[in-house]
Amino acid sequence: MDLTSSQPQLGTSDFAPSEFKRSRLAENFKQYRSISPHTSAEKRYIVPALKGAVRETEGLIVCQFVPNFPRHVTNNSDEVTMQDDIFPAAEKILSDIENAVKKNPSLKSFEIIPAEDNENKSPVFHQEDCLGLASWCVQPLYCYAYRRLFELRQNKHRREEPSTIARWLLGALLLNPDVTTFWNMRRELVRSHKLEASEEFFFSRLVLYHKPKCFEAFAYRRWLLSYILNSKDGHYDPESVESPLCRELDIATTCADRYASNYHAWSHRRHVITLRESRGFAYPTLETEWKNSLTWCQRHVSDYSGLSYRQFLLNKYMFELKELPRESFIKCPDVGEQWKEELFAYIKSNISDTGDMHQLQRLYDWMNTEFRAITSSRRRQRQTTYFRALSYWLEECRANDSAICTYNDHEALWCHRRFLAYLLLRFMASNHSYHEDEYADGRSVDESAERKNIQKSLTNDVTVCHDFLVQAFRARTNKIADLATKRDQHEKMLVERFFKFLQSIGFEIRS
Amino acid sequence: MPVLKHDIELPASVPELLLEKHANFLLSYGTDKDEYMYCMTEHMRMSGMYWGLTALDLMGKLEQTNRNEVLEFIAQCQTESGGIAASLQHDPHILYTLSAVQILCIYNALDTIDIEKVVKYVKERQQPDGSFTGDIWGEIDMRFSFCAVATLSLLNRLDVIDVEKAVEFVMKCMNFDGGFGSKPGAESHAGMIYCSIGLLSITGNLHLVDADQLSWWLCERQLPSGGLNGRPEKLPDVCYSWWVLSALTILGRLHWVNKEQLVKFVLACQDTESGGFSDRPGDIADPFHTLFGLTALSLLNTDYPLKKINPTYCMPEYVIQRLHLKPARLDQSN
Repeated sequence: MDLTSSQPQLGTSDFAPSEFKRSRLAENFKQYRSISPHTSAEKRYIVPALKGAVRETEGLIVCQFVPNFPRHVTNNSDEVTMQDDIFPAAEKILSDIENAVKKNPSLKSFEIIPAEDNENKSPVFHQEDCLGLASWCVQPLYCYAYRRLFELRQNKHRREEPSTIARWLLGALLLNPDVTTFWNMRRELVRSHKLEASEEFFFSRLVLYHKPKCFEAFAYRRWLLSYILNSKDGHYDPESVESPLCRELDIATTCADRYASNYHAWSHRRHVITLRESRGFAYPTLETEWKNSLTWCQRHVSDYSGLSYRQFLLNKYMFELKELPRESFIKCPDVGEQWKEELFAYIKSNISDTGDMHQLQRLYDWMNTEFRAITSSRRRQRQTTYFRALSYWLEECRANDSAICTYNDHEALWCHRRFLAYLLLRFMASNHSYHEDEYADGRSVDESAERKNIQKSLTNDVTVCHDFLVQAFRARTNKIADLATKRDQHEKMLVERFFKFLQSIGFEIRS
Repeated sequence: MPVLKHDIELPASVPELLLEKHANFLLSYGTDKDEYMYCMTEHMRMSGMYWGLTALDLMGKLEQTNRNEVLEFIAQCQTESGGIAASLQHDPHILYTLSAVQILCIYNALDTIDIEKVVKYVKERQQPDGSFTGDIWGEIDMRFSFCAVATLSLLNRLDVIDVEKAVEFVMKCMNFDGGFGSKPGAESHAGMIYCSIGLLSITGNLHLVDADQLSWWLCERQLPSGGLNGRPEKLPDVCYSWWVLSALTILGRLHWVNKEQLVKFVLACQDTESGGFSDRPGDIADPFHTLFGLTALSLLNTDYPLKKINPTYCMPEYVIQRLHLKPARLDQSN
């Protein structure tokens, strides 16, 4: 739904159609209009108050260097009265926004809607899951909330209802979420139980819709998450499908959609996945995250931040996780077989030499027959784990191949391919001695001679398998590099840089 | 040369360096701003002052600023915790603590604030893994690590933190491409690279970096327009002329970028009417980009009458020498 093009119905917004309210609002807006930014009357009103801030001294003294804002010099009741007059509708507008947020926790969007002041209409638009604010009131509303909050901060003895403070903060943060101090004030209110932590997620979501790369808003949500997870009375069920982490991933996706290469959105996502591990959440599942982020990247081929996140997942899934994302598959031997088949198919489709073909066939047969004869289930599982790890690499590699073939000239795709080459090297290095570890733990002391033989052949086979993989990756890379070099002059440079990188990390086929 | 999707086209004529205009732009910045603009930017005022004052110092205009007023303001921004806030009544943060200390060093007036309390505040930010939080609320970021280490070194009090751990954390943020991200596992980012390399330069740990790999990645930030971006497929921006160039300078590989083209890009980002630099040609100028436009020109050793900038601290070199600081640099490499 596009709020900018739809006329909100009075009945659906909190701007009640009752005659009383309407007339009161009309009053307020009339008052405002007489001093609105579009009239000279308003200028007469506000500018004198600002003179203090914009001090004009002789010579070239920089006013912003030494602010002399009115709130620092006066905080008596007279001033408050005067400011009430400056924007009398402010409190009403703020409570309309607040009501909309409270009434509908599933609000998804917040936007400023270009609109002139209209005395009959509320500037707050609320329809379905969308919230909008008329552009004419942004400046006076923000200034109002900002002043009120700093008057309060300056006068430490002054008491104000927490609900009123929260309302000012809501207005100020929706319109300028970069003010760290305001977020901190909300943190204080949450910590002193004046604000309900779980409800804080709703409005900060709107902030992020409006400013999808706002570091402070993401940081606030991270703080809220750990606050909730750490609180003594907070009990969460890590097995529940309704995980608070799923909501965070949703928001990170929205923000990534709304702002390309959104560093903070993808950092937030990493944080959530890390939290998922450390807190033992079952949801979101790692398999879902793998699939969703792949789909996202396939639709955003310029977005290296998304691809960088894939690198984070690949590192994790291939090397770090104790809990295996494809654990459930591992118990099913057919899937293990399938990963192996796919890997061999990839190698096969990318090598052409007849001698190599024969050697590959021998390797394949050996792995299928001799290896299967190995009785140790633990060893079997190790083999499956090995192919599982490579299955992630292969899936990513194929996606990268196909994206490069389909889309011209994307630096992000070639940079990502560098990572895939690097990752393959790293994987091979860490699996080189893999089987030795397996046998070194000495759980069973018999069959040592047999084990030694198997170990030797295993090590050889892994080496052969790795050589084939490198060869296949190289051949495939050459193919797409040819294509890219021929079709685009700039991409040709990207390809050259890619090969230079391969050289720098020593990506060579071992003999 | 074709224009990339993520690049810009330079205007046909590129202006000369308009130093006088930039000085006036900074000196009068804010005088014509209304209350709204004031409230929208007050939360970063301390850094704004640092950008403006450093730029003015580079142009030899520091005497035209009101030293006493600035010092008085900074003193008022130091809070009970020892940390310094962006403005009066704001919460303290390590970002603004560094900005304030930088300004005080430039004015040679560190005694304006309670140094012991600053030291205590910064020390309290360090976490067991070596990282630093920005304030009491616990958010961790590479920027905060740099701010902490830079602040303490300017105060000659690096001994109060676990430097080894701080370095360890930086190295956890290194990626396969040689770059650094804001946290372990995060994407390489030119701004974060400046912070990481700056920290390693201050603590004398540049040997831990793969200088060739990283410098190569940094040079790849240069686009056909001559400008630098901070990550792949992003638009060029004047501020990256600083983050990228300073890191390359520290790594002894500044000559790897195309200097002539970069200077042209930076000059094209000047606002010929109001003065000041913007992120890209034709956008609105601001003090942030004005500083980084000028520091880039200073690093590139152009013949312009600009003071030398120190690549590690982003402060005039004479100030760093006055403080007897010797941040490390790698020797120039071919």
